[in-house]
Amino acid sequence: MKMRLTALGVIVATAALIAASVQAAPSARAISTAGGVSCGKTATIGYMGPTTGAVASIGAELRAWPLFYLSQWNATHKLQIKVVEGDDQFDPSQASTIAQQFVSNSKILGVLGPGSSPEVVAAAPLFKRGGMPYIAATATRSTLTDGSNGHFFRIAPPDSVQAQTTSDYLTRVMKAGKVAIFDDQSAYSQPLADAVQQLLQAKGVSVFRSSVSPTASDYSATINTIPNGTQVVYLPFTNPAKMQLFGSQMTEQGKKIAMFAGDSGYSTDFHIEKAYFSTFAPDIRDIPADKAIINAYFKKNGANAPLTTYGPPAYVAAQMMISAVAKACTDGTATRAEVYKDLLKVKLPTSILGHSIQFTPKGEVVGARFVIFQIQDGKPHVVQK
Amino acid sequence: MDWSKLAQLTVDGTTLGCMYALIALGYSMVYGILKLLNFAHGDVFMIGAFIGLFVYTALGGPLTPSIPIVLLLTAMFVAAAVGCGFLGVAIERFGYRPLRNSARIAPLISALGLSFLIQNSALLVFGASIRSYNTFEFDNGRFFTLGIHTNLVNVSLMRLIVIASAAVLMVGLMAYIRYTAVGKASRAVAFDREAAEMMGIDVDRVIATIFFVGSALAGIAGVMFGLIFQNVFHYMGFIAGLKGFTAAVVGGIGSIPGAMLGGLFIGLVESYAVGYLPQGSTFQDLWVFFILIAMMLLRPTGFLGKADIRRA
Repeated sequence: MKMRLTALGVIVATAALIAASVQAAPSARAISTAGGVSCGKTATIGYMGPTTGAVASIGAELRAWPLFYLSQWNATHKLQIKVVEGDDQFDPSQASTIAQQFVSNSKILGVLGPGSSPEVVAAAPLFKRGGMPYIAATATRSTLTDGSNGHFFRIAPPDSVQAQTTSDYLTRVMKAGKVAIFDDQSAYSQPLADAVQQLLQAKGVSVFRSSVSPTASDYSATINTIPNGTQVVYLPFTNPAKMQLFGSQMTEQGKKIAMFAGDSGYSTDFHIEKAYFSTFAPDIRDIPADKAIINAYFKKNGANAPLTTYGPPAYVAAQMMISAVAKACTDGTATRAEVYKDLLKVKLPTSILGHSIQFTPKGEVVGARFVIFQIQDGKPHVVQK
Repeated sequence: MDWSKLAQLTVDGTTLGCMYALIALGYSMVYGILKLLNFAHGDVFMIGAFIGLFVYTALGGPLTPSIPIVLLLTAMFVAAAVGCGFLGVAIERFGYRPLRNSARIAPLISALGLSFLIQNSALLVFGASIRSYNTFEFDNGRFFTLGIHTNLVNVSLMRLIVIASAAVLMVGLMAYIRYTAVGKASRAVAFDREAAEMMGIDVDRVIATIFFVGSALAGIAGVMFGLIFQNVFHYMGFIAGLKGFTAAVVGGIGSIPGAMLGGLFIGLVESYAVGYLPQGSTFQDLWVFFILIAMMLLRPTGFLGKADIRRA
């Protein structure tokens, strides 16, 4: 009898707890989307990126630059911006978990990140449901701005632009009539390789198309399949160390074929002499107006702080988001919807990327373009802006 | 017939096969003596690659080695062999010995758990980034520009060193098993553990020695991998271990000559499949595991394995 009463008590208590949670949930949602957050003195944004994991080296730069801008803003403005950080480890499942946490945090008015396209796809349904505006600095998959990903914005141009830029350079400048394309079966590499293949074939270029296993550590046999007479090998791999191995093994086998990589080519792990790569931002060290910012960045983060082509777009993303949040907070309260509307209005007449920044209604930057580099004497040099 | 392509693919496959063979030997030796599949073996190979990298870096790396290159390579191999040997002994002592008299599934699960433990420990300690041996910058790239370079085939000096070293190790292992007292004891324990124990053989010591030798070979294979294929990372042992296991099974699990033959066979099959089949590189791993399934269906004992005789 006593045991039955105890069991009944547990069941009733559990039911009450569940009922209370369900009642509370709508209120939490209401706070995050309806009434607005008080932001007269401080406002909060989220940052999501691969702080640890397989691409932590890129993640370090994607994190350092927006936090650098944040420190500059907070030093010179009354409205203080706080950041809540989430480490997605370059893993879509982690990205969706962090997105849920951010959406549930009513104070967060906007998010910087995620770092790449698969994480955006994973986080998008949650951000969309929570009405969260978010800016991915370097996610380039073309379909991300098709309207299905909520209030999504990005700084880097889409892969459709990269494919066009690459195929144009291969035919117009390199005069390639025979190209071999290998993708690494990743969600980034395959669509980009397909797009470049189609564009090249439309221009009458002979294309040999294949892919490598993502677990492959040896490309010797794959290199043997490259047809004779191939003038360029196009390798939009996600991992620069693997592209480096491919290039080294081509040299080992005496294959003197030009290499052209995707945007992961801007890395100390990839240094094949005379290889080309396209990427979504210029080397800001070549822009004189950026010298003061670069010096300030190294002063704050140390002389060895990362600076490739990933950091500057992340810096610009922070500029846009914080400007929009500040605008929305003018009356002391802000909602995510207001921040989204203000993101569409914010315009930077100049930026450290060397051009103005303004978002289209779809979330792309007006006039964004890819830059082509060539590795000369072990260092990347711009060959086409 | 493109003889140049065939010759090059043969060289590439032989290089790969040598590494698979060295990994497979560890699987076969342990299975022969304990009837246990040591799934942590691939991760011992990974640790060997990292040990080689750290010795190499500590002694000046590719650009400024502080000792002659021959000594540097020797130091890398010895450090990896010794380090992985002791790791193998520790794995046996703490992961398998307590379960030796348990149901067969228990050490298998322990093996899987150890594999994940080593992999994730490496992730924690070494990080997730891919590290590179950068051997193309070793001695101004001479290890890759020197060698046999003809119209028919290109074989770099580094590949020649790896193939020759692997051959010496395999022959040495065969001699060790055949002619030394420990080798004879190992064969006795593999044949009948209880009888060997009754004959006064220290079975625990023999098993520990086998784990040491097998793991040492995997460690050396790890260094060879880094020297030829540059990139080392915490999950590199997973696929290499599976292919080494496949090689051991194809050759005849428990057979040392079988492991060598299986390793070379798998390496060549992978190379020829990538080179000749349509979309061969896309499905590079598929061909190897297809061979495994085919072998299980057609000849479960492998090329040189023997069927178990069970008493009624």
